[in-house]
Amino acid sequence: MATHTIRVGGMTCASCSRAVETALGRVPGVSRASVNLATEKASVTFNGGPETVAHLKAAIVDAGYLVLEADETTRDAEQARRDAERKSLRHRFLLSAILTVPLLFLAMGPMVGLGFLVPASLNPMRYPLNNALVQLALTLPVLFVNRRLFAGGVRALLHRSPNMESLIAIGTSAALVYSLLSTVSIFRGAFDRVDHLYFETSATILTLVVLGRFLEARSKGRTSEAVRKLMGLAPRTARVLRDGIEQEIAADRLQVGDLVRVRPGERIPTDGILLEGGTSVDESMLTGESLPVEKGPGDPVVGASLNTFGTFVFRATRVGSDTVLAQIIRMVEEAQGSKAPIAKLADIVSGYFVPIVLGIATLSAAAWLVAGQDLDFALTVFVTVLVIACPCALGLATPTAIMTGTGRAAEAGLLFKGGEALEITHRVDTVVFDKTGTLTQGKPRVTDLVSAPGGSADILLALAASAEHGSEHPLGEAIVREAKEKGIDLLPADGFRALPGRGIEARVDGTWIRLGNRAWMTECGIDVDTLEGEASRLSDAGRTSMYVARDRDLLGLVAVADVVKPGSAEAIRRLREAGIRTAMITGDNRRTADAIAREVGLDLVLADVLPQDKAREIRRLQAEGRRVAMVGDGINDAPALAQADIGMAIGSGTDVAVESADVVLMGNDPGDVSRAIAISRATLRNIRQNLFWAFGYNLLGIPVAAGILYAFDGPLLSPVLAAAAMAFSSVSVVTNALRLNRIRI
Amino acid sequence: MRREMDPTPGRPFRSVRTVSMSLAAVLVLALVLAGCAGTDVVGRDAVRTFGAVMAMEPVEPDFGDGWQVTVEGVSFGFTSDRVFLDLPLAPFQEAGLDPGRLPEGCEADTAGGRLRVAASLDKPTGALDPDDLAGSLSRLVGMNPDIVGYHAALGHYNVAIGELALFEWAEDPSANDKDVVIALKPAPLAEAGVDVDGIAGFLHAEVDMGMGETMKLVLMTVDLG
Repeated sequence: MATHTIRVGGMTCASCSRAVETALGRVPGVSRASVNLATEKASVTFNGGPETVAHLKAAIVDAGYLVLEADETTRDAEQARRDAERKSLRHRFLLSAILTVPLLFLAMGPMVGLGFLVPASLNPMRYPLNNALVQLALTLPVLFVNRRLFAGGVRALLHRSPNMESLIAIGTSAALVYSLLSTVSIFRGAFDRVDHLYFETSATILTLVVLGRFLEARSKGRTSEAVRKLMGLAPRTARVLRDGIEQEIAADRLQVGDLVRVRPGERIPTDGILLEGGTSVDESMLTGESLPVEKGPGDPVVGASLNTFGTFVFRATRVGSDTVLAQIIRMVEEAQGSKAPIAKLADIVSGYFVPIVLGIATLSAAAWLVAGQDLDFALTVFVTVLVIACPCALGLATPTAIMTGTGRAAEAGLLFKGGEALEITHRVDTVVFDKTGTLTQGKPRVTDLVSAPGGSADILLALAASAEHGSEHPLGEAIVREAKEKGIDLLPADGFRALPGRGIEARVDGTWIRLGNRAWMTECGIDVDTLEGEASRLSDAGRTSMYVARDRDLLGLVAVADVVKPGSAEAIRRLREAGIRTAMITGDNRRTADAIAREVGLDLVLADVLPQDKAREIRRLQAEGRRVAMVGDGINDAPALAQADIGMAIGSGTDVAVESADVVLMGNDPGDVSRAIAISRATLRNIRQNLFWAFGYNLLGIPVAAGILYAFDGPLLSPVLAAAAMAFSSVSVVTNALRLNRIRI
Repeated sequence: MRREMDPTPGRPFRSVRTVSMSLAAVLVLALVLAGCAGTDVVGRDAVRTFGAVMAMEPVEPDFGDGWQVTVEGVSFGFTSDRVFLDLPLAPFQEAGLDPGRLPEGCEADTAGGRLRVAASLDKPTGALDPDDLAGSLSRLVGMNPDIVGYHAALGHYNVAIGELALFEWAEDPSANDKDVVIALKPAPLAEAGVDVDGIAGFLHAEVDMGMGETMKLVLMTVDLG
């Protein structure tokens, strides 16, 4: 099975995307076809080779739509195409409006008391033919500049998949033909037919439709602002050191292995490993974390992050489309182009919508004729129903919200892999955190130094760190790091020996220093009774305590633990406030796990779980009817991430974790989980509002246009007002989606 | 691959040019139409129907200084430089008319017992044909097209006597019970002391003038049968 994305042009409404989907679905070998109206992309999964792709493109063209060429799918070309489309729409609107305003004045001025402003030679009562001919002359250019609407509508009709443009084309054509017949009648002496001209209806509908399209295109452009912002982060040039000479080159010419110098205030041009110098880097635009990150030799640096402090040199390790930024952009674009399950409802409805509307318009007009109304009335009803029922709002309701929601999330360092992930996340009622690296720092740190009576904590740490200096054990490294951070000088040591399951010993400054558990101390004849109570307390708090002795004298206790991240407790509190149950899954023993659970306020602890059993635990929670999100960062979390309803990889995670996850949290803050859920909820709320508005608009608008109010002595909706309402509905849906750009998460 | 290009992407000057050309074309068309008798279908049909109605009994056409048609004591006429209505004065006097307060264009001949409403033509017609009533009206309308109108609500054509009165005739007398209508503006009469609701033989009523406009008029209608 292969998946191919094709960019489709000429789609204007949900019926269009539905028609393209149907056409693609009929191509032999296609198992799935999904078309996104907002991004104008068709994603097709099929069994076949390059010849199938050719068939897919042919199917799109046969359905009456355009396949945009490869050179048009590059980002710049696409932007240029969208800009050109926007400009074209603006010009078409301005031209239409400039001609439609005098037309409206000519047609309706005398009816609203402004007849005295109409030139005498165009007075409809005295010179009805002049009036009609000038109206026609003003209408024809409007029809001409908007001929694409007609072409698209007729093409869709010929392909038996009528769309919004078909409705507009039929409605405006009906008004135009009727007006032409009235003009002929005027010429033949039926001057009262001057009251039966609907040229202004045709022109006004087209003007308002093109206005709606223009506003929609402008708003849609803003839904992909997030990607544009991300793209704008990448610097255009880089300072490369080649043969010892610094030269400035275009960033896209960087190669893996290049040495690159970055000065304060500059953005890092690509991903790499820092070699010389040190700095702090602002990665907030990528990770959402506001605090700069300290970097030194050996640390990875990420392209597009901001060097805030020193000058440094790094070696490029990934360039071009392999960089983290490029991957993020790709992921966001894919997510924006994907479809959420909630969109299916709109898809199903839009498939039947246009034919049903055509039927309603015809039946309404016929019913009014049978009820005794004249042809004018029936025509007004027919045109109004067709115009008001345009399904463009329905087609835009979901994809614009998905685009904006995923874009807004990306700005906060939360990468949803698709519309489905965005939708399912809002339903999560249980969040299971992996412990190490997720809720905790993932690196043990010295938490307590307890010296024996009369002893000194600093001497305790100095001797313990000196003894552990040669150790590669994480606990030993934590002790050495603590000493270094406190500026304590280490003493020379030799004779280091590690005793698995017991501890270590080394000769420091001529005396034997031993660190280890009670068994090791007892074996060495060291009495630990004085600190046994303290050791027990530390153990209850989830810390690993080690006795420290010099020769046979007990010096004290050093406790080490994987400490909880500063934001963990707050993250859990926010999730609980949102009504979500929180759990932690860990291979640690129950006592350690419980200690952390108490510290951060978790509801449930799943302790002593082997890596391979994490997925089973998730399955068990799901079997209880829970919708589970799993948050993890390591390879061993991958099966659980895949098993969960939503897998969230945190802190950029490992590649495997990122691959298995539905959501990637670029930052290292567990608070991002609640933020991801919050934006998912906001987006789904927004989609529901959009669908409610789009459906409600049609459910209310169609009966009113069909004359239901008129039947009960109410007003009859005019085609012009219907066109305005239709344009407003699309714009309102897109504008509502854009509100997601402003939500606080 | 078939592709459709935007007509004018990124080229505003082309739009400006298109708009300017379209508007100029419409302006030229309007000017041409203003002077084009061929599109003056109201004038054309007014002349045609006027001849037919005025040929009916008991209309009495007569040519003196110009043409004059009389029906039920009311005359409508036009000369080379004016149009007029000639009405019996008595009903207006009985309704309180003070001849001294009549507006310009309106004149009471108390000795002759007539009320005359007249208006000058913008463009004199020159000599009228004493043998061709319809042809003379055609000349009048050709020179002064704005003087003629169509009253859609009644199916009438009309000639305006300045701002004071209308002389109307039916487009199709066989389908109309008001073959000739004399309509007077009530305000000038009221200012001259006339009780516009009490003029014998006339009706003061609101009339649909088309395009949603209504007007109160003092009307005398004649059914030629």
